Amino acid sequence: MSVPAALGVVGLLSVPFVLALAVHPITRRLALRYPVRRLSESALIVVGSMLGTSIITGSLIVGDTIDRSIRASAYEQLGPIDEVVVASGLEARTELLRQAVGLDASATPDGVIDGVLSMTTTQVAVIGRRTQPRAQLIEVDFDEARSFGGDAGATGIEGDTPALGHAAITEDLAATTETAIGDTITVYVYGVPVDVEVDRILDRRGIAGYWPIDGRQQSYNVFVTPGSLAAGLVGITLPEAVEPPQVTLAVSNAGGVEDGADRTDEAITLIGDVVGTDPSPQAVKRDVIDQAATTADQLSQLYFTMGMFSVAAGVLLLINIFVMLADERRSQLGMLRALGMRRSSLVLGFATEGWLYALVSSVVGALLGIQLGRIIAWRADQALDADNDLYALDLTFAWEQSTVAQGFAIGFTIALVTIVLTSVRISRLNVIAAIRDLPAGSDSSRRSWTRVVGLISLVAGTAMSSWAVVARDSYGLAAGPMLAVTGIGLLVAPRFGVRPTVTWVSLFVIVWATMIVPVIGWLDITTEIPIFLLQGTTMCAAGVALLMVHHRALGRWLSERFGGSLPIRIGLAYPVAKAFRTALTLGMFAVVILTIIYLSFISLMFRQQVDGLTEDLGGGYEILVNSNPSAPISVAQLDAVDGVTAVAPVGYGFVETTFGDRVQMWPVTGFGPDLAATPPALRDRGAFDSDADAWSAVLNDPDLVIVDEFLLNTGGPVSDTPDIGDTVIIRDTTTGTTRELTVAALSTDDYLLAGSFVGVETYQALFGDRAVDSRFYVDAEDPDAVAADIGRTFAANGAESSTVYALVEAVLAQSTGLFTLMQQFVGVGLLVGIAGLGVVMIRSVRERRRDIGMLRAIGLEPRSVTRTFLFEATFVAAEGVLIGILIALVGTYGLVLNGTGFLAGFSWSVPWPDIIFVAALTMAAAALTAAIPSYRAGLIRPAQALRIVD
Amino acid sequence: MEALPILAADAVRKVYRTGANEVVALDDLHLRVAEGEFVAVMGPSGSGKTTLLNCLSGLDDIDSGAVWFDGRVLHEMSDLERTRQRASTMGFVFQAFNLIPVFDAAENVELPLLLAGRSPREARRRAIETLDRVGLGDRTQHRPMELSGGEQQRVAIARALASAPRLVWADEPTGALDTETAGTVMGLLRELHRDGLTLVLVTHDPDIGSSAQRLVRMVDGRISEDRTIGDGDGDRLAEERHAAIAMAGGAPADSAR
Repeated sequence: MSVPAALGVVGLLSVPFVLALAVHPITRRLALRYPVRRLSESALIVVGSMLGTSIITGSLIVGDTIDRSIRASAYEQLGPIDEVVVASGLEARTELLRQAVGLDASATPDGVIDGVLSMTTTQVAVIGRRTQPRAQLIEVDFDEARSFGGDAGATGIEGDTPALGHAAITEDLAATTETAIGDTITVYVYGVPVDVEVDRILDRRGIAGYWPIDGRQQSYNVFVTPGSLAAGLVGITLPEAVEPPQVTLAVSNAGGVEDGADRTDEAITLIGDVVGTDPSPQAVKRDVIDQAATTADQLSQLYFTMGMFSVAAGVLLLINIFVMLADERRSQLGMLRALGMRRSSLVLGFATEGWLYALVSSVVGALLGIQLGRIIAWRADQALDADNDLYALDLTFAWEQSTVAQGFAIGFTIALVTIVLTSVRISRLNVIAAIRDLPAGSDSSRRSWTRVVGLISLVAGTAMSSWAVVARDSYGLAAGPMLAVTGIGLLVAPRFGVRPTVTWVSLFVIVWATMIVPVIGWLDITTEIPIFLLQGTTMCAAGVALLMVHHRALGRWLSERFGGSLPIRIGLAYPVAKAFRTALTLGMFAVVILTIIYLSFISLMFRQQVDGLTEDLGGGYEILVNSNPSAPISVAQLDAVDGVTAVAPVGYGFVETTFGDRVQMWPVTGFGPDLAATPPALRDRGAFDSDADAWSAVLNDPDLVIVDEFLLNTGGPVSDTPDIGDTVIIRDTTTGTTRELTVAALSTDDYLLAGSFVGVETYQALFGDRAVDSRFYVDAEDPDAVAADIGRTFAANGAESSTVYALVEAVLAQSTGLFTLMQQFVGVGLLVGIAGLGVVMIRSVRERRRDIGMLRAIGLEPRSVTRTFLFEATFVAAEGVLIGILIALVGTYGLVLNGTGFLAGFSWSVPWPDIIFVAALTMAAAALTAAIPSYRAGLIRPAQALRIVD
Repeated sequence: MEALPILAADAVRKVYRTGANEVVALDDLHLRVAEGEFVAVMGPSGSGKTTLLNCLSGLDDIDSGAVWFDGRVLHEMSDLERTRQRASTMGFVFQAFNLIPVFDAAENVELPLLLAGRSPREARRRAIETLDRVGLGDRTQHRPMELSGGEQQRVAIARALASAPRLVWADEPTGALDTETAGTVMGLLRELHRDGLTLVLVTHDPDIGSSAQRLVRMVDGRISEDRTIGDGDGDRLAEERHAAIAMAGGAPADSAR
């Protein structure tokens, strides 16, 4: 949504209220009087309702930040590089250069392409003061590189081409090897040490920032003069089964660093026409940009959904505030109606006052949302800054004006709709009852309405359920039966009584909402994250309704036990009597606590997966070793390491993978009989009798593949998961070899970034002479010591050696870090609850001044008055917290009951420390918020309070 | 021998200040109330009746003078001590009943008993007994909203009596009631007085005032008249009432007596 569109929505919605203020003097008086006269309360209302907008804006800004960060990688790191063509072997260079000439001919100002550049690369290990096992040696002419794409600054290349024996290195490599200009580093080229002097350190940008190693964001590049590799290789006999040097033809599209990506399709066609399919071009920049958009959308949606729980709390707060305002002004409103004011004018007056709050709170909320987004981005950057740079992502805080405008418009609209609906509801007062301050009672028209609403709910719920089954819609399946049963409840309540009806309907809703995620899993229906919003809010509503119909009994039971204490007795009586108000406050707390505790549950269950996942992912092996394909470790070398008991070599590379309508460069692992003998555990082995059978079948059948549920998902919620029998197409862009494979089984979640598993024959067919066993699953007696030993011993081979346990732990730490971050984000919603409680308590004190006066007159001590209000506030907060916790317990139990989706194989564990901490923090905050109004209640002078007329 | 006063006020002065404005609500007020007396404090609106009640009961502070209650100087006590004094020795009946809306009748009457430290069981027993005494034994579980005005005021009277106070203050107890109900409530108060209750009743209604033993009339914060009500006072007060109503342009209603 653009800025003008967002402001247009707000402007359009504001027209009636602006007109009302301008034209209707009574509406103006009604709308302006209270906000102006009661500034502190107005401020609390604004604080309570602005948080919703802040949360919405903050969650959208998370999307901006992630989008901008990944795009920044594309724009800054790739710079002018839009496409690449990678060929294998130095002999390919001549052919590729010849083709480049054909491309260069079209590199005119009006053409699609404005530059081509050839580079020769190979993977190396670099040792300076410290070791960087996986780095890249790049031969390139610096003058050509600088002129590539027409923007020298964007290439990151500075100075002359280093002379032979000299090099320029990137800042990432300089940092990890602790190297400065003038230092000498040892570069292990094909296992042979070559000393070079570092002339320059280059920024991670453009050609200098080009990063093809296993999809890492960091650039560990050593730039040398063209021909160095050929010169260095003179006299060296390359061992068999090593990856030969790669020749990369980088292509820059016309239109600059950012806009050039828009011409990718044309460029790919043009390049394809010239170079053919063997090798074929890769749209590197557009792929990264597409990935940025998808990941940003997914994570933004996740935060948005989680944030909506807090927004729901904000909506409840607004309703509560307006119902309280109406209660307080009931007799005045009745009088105005008696004097001839129309109901619509009453609605307009109330709604205009609300419009003022909504406008101010949305503006402030949107601006605060930027800061909230900044904090989340900062914390997310910490959470994503994993030790292992394979999993790391640098986040740069960013926000768009349109995002803030959108957050403002959404927050404003939600607040205004809530306020208008509440205003309509509260304007339906009985004039006589309002003037005389009598209870409204229930009239026959209300009973008729209840019947009508019940009938509509029943019909709509039944229709929605039926449609959902046919259309396989998860939301309809979740909401339909709840709506239908609620309709039945409304119809039968007059006959069977409100309490039993609400009890049974609420229990049904809780049970159904608990079961809905497993049921959706059983029925194999695709769903999305918002289902949890539906699940959480309905469970909270049912939980609150259940408590409210039994609140009187609970209050009586507690009063009997603590009946001697007047603060407790009075503190219990008001929340029990003011059912609607209490229900809204309970709902505010319950919905936020539920979300926080829910996330705690999932986070804990993730943390507890380390042992199980290590066992599943490693199969019979404890260590994972990566080495440079250009100088791989051999099995014999690893076998010779002390403590190593078994080695399973695998090939590892990236291929263009197509699943459904998604195409992406994705890892592939080519395994042999060693891994198949004691393979990683499968999540779903389909029709095979055992996991080993499935692995064996894939090893022997070149048309089969094992993939995991997160295939081609790069973050955030999973969509379009693969099933057994689905087709996956993989293609090596260098050899052009393509294989259409059938999913034979689903692997355990891919925490080791193994990608798709294919048999060794398929792997060799794909990669040709680049099919090298550079990755190893190793079993050892003392995994930690042996992993460290391998890393040290084979540094020249670029060995990166970790225990599977450490790798799993690193990924889980990142996941749980993000969960914690999300908890903190949702925790902002607690402020809504706390602010709401503050508003409720302040208004309660005002509303009950006369009662306080009477109680003080007959002998209630000031401190007892304070205790009464404190008890009431903490009691309501405690009930809300308790509902949230209980529903989280039930909900998560239901979620792991069937073990579908991301909780497959998880066991139910209760995060007691988190629960206790969150509950204690909430209670303390609630008590603190209530302390001031409670203290002021204790200061009320009885004579003054009794003089108050209304 | 004259009975010892349970309440004594000497030269009491109370001034309300709003910004630069000062309103003298009580000025050099002297009053003695003996145990077992039924005193009606009468006067027109703004004469200081309610202020007298508030100051002499310790609900409000005074600017000068002294108030003795049961031999102790009320305004030398801390707010907490005065609160405890009220809880143990005084009862209150207000014009607007001032019942706690979320409590039923019995629970409202239990309040002063619990404040006096009675156990919940004992408080409940006494509350039901007291409600029985005011004729509401069958309405103990009803909330204020479910009771008529007269019934609510009887609950308020029961609440005032429940802890057996030494003195009950009643501020316009019939002000919100119709004539017939007001008569019933006044009948109840008279009966309670006959049983030994000390009662100070504030009213502007001469008919209600004539129910008392002693009449204290106030004008502009001072006591203009303090005398025992005799046989002829009933007619004279009724005339006052008719005159007041005629001045207001209305027709005289039936007496509450």
